[in-house]
Amino acid sequence: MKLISLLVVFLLSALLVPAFQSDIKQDTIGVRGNCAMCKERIEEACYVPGVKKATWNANNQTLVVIYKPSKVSLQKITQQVAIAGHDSDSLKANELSYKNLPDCCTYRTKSCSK
Amino acid sequence: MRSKSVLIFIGLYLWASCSWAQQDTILRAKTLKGVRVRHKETTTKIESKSIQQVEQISGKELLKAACCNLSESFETTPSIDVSFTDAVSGYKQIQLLGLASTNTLITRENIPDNRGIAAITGLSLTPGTWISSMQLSKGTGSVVNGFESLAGQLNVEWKKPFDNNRFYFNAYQNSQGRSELNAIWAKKVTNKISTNLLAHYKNQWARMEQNKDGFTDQPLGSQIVLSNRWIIFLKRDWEFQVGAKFSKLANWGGQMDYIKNEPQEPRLHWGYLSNLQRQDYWMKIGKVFAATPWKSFGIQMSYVLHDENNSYGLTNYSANQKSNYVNFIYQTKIKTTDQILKLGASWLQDKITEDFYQTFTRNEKVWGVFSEATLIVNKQLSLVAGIRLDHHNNYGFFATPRLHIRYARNEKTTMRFSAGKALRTAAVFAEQKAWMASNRSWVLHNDAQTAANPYGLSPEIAWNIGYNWNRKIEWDYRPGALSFEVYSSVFTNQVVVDVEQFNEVHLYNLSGASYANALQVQVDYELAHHLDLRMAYKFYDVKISYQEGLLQKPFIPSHRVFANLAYQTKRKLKLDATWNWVSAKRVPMNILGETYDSNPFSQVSFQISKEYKKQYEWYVGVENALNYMQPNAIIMPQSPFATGFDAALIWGPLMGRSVYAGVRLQIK
Repeated sequence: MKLISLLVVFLLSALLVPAFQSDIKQDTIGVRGNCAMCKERIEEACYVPGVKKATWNANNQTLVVIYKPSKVSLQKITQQVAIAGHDSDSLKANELSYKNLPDCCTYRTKSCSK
Repeated sequence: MRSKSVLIFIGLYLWASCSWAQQDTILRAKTLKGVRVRHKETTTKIESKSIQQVEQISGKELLKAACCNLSESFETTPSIDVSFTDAVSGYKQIQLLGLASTNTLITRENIPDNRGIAAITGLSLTPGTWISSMQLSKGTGSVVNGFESLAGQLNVEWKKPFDNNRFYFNAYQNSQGRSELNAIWAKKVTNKISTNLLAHYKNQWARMEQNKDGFTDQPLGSQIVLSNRWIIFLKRDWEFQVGAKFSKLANWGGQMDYIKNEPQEPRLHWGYLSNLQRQDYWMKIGKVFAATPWKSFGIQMSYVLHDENNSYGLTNYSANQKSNYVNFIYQTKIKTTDQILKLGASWLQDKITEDFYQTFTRNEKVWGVFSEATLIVNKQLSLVAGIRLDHHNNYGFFATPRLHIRYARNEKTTMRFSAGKALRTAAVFAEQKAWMASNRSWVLHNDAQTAANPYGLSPEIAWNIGYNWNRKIEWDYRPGALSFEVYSSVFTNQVVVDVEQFNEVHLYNLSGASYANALQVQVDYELAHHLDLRMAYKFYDVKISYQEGLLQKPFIPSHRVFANLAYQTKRKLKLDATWNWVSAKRVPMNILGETYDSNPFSQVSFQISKEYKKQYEWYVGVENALNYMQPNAIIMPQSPFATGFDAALIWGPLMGRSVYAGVRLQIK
């Protein structure tokens, strides 16, 4: 039972922490991509320490990131997206990482109609 | 007379109006074809849109479980409890809402499976690697699938021949001498015709004796299961499926000195022998009307042959079952597509012979008609109301009403209510096989014995009502879910299994109260990106009126706590840890006159797996890492032929720590 109550306390404390956070920023940037696979790749790339949530929307080609500015910069997140092979408003992905994308995801040529 | 003619009228009306019926599985499978499963999806989730409470257990969740067949697939699913049946046969049984698995309708793609004498053995004949996903619904299920499901329905979807994997292979080995091989070949013959061949082989070759009682912990032997099925999409949206499954199992165990097939009679060594053969055949035909997609019909048919022979020391039990099943479902709208009506008719025959000291034969024939309305009242409120009328050759006419209501207060909070009735003939000996691993005498209180019902026992009839509440949460930008549920089953009749006397098993009809109340609270939360926590607490209150009075059902824990942590690294290394704590259980009296509560115990398991290019995967893990085993699992293990010997008073793990490793290979 001791173990259980410890676990409960642990969980509760984990949940209460965010209530005291003020170091949170939300930004929207344009990121280009095609499909569900792109969405997964873009969002995964964003999750570096300090990033709380990343949501990419294929319809309006935008990425919404929620992060702690004290731990990570928007520039760093954009770099991660570029390394994964995706162009954003401020940074173009290099040819090599773009070429590594599967056929369906080559958004520059729009080879995939989705 | 009047009610009979009304029934006949309803029957005729159904036959006339329903050309036939719809077949859920094929249709769902078809629409799934084009959908790519995204990896962010949680491995188990409550479907918030469905009117019934349905837990989707994905194939990914199954990968977290160590092993290997359906009875072992629920290690990370807190809703289902798994325990050993006895200390010699190695079988595990599952429980839902505090009730044995026989009270849960287990279906293979919506065709009833594991019924009758396969109650205990059937679960091990569905290899885990064949399963693509499972849907677990609690409370009385849909009337479309029959009148039996009381605690819930577990639908098992197999891997489909038309999904993109051409070949699948799995090999497994654990430190307790168990080896498994699984393979699936799929072929698209044409765009419309596809088939797959599924194979499973299991062998327990090491004779393990970890608890020093002189008995083999797990029986030795092998098991083969093979299946082939064809799915054909025809013109004008006709769909057709045919399949067959063959299972063969040969196990032996008992005392360490026992040699396979050694005669039991000189009473030198106590041996366990089990041979089982089963054949399943099924066919499904369905059609959707392209212009009016709410209208469809389907027919599903199955035929089962099951034969088994067992000996537990001097006790022999053999059983044979032939079952056939036909179900027609016709679906249409009432006025709008928010009002869907399903109508149908079913036929079920079970011919069961059990040889246990004497021969018991029953031949049950049940035909029934049913109607189920699904009404979406508005965005918040929807309900499914169904009723079926069945005629049983022994029990006559009976009605089975069922109701499910879903109320979504907003997008995040969903409440569900369900109520319904269920009826079932208990296959008493097959279900209570565990007690054959003892020297108890069996006492059948068969006052109402007839030629048609040699057991003289009434059908089990019960009501179940349930409420559950689910809420999606987002704390600190991370998703989670909370759920709370209470279910109550009340039996108006039940076949009571009374083992309160140390040397007897009594089977009799319930007189007095019998109920099972179950409560479950669950929290799911993403603690950090790719770090998922699931915690659950369960409470059971299961009591039955025995000859001795209203008592807590033995071997049911009052409390259970569950926690699972799953983590995936950037390089897709998956780590999984599960902790289970089970409270004390009531243990009936043994020959020493001891009545006691068992010790509470914890079980911990870990798994690590890594996938390469979605083709190869290896996994290693530990089960029962704390190495907890029930002490003195067998009563009087030194004198198994004497009064008082009992290998069925089982409340805890019988196998110690086990380390395992396996590989999976998939070729697209």
